[in-house]
Amino acid sequence: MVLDIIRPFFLGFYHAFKRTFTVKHPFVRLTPTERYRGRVVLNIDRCISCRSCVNICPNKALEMVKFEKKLVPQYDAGRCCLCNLCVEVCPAIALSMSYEVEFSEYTRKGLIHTPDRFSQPPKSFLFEKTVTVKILDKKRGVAHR
Amino acid sequence: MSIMKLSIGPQHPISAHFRFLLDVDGDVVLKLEPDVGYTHRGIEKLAEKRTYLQNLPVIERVNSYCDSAGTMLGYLEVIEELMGLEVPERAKYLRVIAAELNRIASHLYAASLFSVATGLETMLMWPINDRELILDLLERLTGQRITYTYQTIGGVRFDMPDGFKEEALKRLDYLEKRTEDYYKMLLWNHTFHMRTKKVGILRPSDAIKLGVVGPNLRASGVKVDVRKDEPYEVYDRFDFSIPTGKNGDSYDRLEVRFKEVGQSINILRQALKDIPKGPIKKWVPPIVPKGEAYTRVEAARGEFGYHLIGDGSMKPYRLKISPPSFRNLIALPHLCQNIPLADVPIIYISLDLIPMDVDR
Amino acid sequence: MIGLEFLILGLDFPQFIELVLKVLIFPGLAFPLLFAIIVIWFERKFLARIMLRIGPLHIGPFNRTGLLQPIADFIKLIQKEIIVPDNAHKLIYNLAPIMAALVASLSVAFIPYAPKPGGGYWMIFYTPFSLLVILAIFTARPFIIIAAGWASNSKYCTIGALRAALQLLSYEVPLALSLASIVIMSGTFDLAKIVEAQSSIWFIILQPIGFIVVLIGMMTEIARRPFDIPFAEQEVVFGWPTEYTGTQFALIMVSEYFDLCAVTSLITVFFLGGWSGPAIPLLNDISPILSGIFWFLLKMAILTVIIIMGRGIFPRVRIDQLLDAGWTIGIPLAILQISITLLTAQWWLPLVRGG
Ligand code: SF4
Ligand code: SF4
Repeated sequence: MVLDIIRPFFLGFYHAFKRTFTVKHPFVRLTPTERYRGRVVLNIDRCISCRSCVNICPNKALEMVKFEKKLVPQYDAGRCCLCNLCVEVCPAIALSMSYEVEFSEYTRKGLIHTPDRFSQPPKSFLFEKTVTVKILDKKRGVAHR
Repeated sequence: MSIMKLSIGPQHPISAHFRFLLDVDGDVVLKLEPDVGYTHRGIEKLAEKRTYLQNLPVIERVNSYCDSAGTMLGYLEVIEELMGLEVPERAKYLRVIAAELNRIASHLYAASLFSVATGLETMLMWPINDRELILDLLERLTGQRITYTYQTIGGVRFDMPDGFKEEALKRLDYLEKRTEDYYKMLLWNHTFHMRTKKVGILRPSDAIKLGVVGPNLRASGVKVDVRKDEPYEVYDRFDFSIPTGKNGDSYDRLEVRFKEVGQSINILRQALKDIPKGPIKKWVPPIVPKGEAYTRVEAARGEFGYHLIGDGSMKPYRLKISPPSFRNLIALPHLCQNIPLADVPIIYISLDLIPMDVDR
Repeated sequence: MIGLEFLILGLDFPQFIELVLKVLIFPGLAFPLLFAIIVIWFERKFLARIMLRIGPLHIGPFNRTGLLQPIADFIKLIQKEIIVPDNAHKLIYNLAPIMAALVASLSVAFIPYAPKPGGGYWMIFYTPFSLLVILAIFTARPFIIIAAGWASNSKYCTIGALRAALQLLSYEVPLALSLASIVIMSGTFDLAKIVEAQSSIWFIILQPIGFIVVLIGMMTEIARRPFDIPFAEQEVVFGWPTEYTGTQFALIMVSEYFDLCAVTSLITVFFLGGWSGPAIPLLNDISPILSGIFWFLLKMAILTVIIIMGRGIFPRVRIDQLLDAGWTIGIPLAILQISITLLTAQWWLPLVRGG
């Protein structure tokens, strides 16, 4: 019983001097893994206006609008659950998932991506300080065991 | 002394999105009345309005932040039973891998919540920290951290990425080693024993009578696990045991979960070793034939039952979900009779209820 | 009272300066506040480390240490609106936090921190019965808590206050009993004399059982985890101060750390030999008082770390278990310590009272 009371003391002290592996987010960013599903991106030139993405989207996040004499989907980031169904169904491979996760806005309207915004490439943070899961693993000690 | 009505939740440090009404006499709780429905989202009705494929992201949100892969598995099982579909071998293994990883994540989450109910915040952070390892793995496998939409009708959507196997094995080894620390810090902690042993004892006969499922039932000493009793997917090929508790108290309910993490690691090792090569997905028609089917799967919180009635169209006619948390909830008023007020959070958390799961 | 007539009689200038220093800076006002700020920061950072987190990060000098986080929190709190709940007893509700802070900081005035070279001690208020005064101050605290809990007119507050009252009142008995064995050993109620009795051997070595009882009793008195039952977040939200906001909440938080300061000082005085320790060359050159204070603060710091550790590694105990332990383990142990002290008098007497 005494051992059970004293043991956590040592364990606690031991952990107090262990390295934490929190990513200090605003200063350092975690690079998403290869398959990470962030915001959907449209390639306008490839789109054949077939509407299948609009039909399959479970949250009605996509909607057909006219853009430069062509019907293309418009994207409401507030409704999207990043489920990847639209990307899978698109026959022309016009849609793809990017790794962009920070697309919050101050208004609901700001979340609606009109086709020209929808087709923009994701904001890149490659030039900022980043850390990958692999490096984190080393810190966590997973790699050593 | 007069009886005081105390309302805990829905905004209370322990009760998540949930409310109980307590009858308190001094420091003794005479009666507990759960008030369900705060997070009701009408998922069963939503499911009737969408096609089977569109339902995937909806259904996994029944129990989203803990065990979406396990939840999904039941939905796919029931559709595939109705269609008489056989999914490719590799897909079955991948489904099991995702579900078991998710089970580990869910149990770690449960353990961390449990220790917070007793007031030990250190053990809130440690399992959450290590759960991150599993979530990273799932992110590599499925592309998302919490709601995966990974399994789909007729298989899975993505294959295993390169190097996934080695990474997974390394992390599982780490996790197994790390569990020792949990035992030292929490499960062998004398103060923790004082708080959780002999608290909220659920006798096996009562548990069966009340219809409690999952780890809570196993903690009472009843050896029931759908993975063993009615193997689905490829669970019949793995060699694992069903951990059971002795006393059925809160401590046993936590310990059973910890032991289950060990068994999940066991299953994952075998699955990663045996996984065959081959296709991961089969083309399926979007229409499900007319008929009725019921399947059950063992998700992290217990047995998920799905009852599907198809009317030969693209949408389900009726999908009835019987989630484990709702069935375990019945045990809560039963256990919370004539106990000290301080035991209410422990019993509540030890049952590992998720309000979203209860309300659907 | 002896100290009071000292005040009424005219003071010469150095004495006046000394008094101002004492009241405003060292054991007086600034020290507990500084202690609170440093300990709050240290607690957050240290517990974060145990939990493998980082803790406060952004505010303050030095690269990402969050040193000024407690001050920032305090500034935020005093900006907030003070909300008095409906049907609360306004006067008592508003008075309770002030009283809590006052009573908590009061006990610091009676604790000797260092000897002065020409005789006397570095303390604000010298009385030969300081131990009794401090016990009296401790007895006053439950009433403030009950008043605050009752005046808030909230169920959680009432439950928290009743729990606090039960806990505080029932742990006074073992605490007083084990302090009795110290009084027996040193033969005085004067804290300064108790320290001087330990010049050759500390009481922690002579009375290990008493030390454990006093440590646990004191932790219970100030409601630190694992005995923070009155504040149990999971059961009663935040216990008796649940309804307080803004400055009043800040006062209550600060009073908790004043209590911690007083408690660690007291345990240092009772068991760890107070200021006794080898003279530090540099500090001793400036003033021998500083050397004594240094040792005192060092011992306090070690005790503080031990008390804070409790929050990182123990779950909270239940109220009935705690009260049970107080009556069935605490009091017998304290009485055991008294009997051991009495029975072994011939061995310790030469060590403590110098033959
Ligand atoms: S990812 Fe899913 S929710 Fe988002 S637009 Fe595509 S189909 Fe709709
Ligand atoms: S599915 Fe693809 S091609 Fe068809 S409308 Fe959508 S984006 Fe365009």
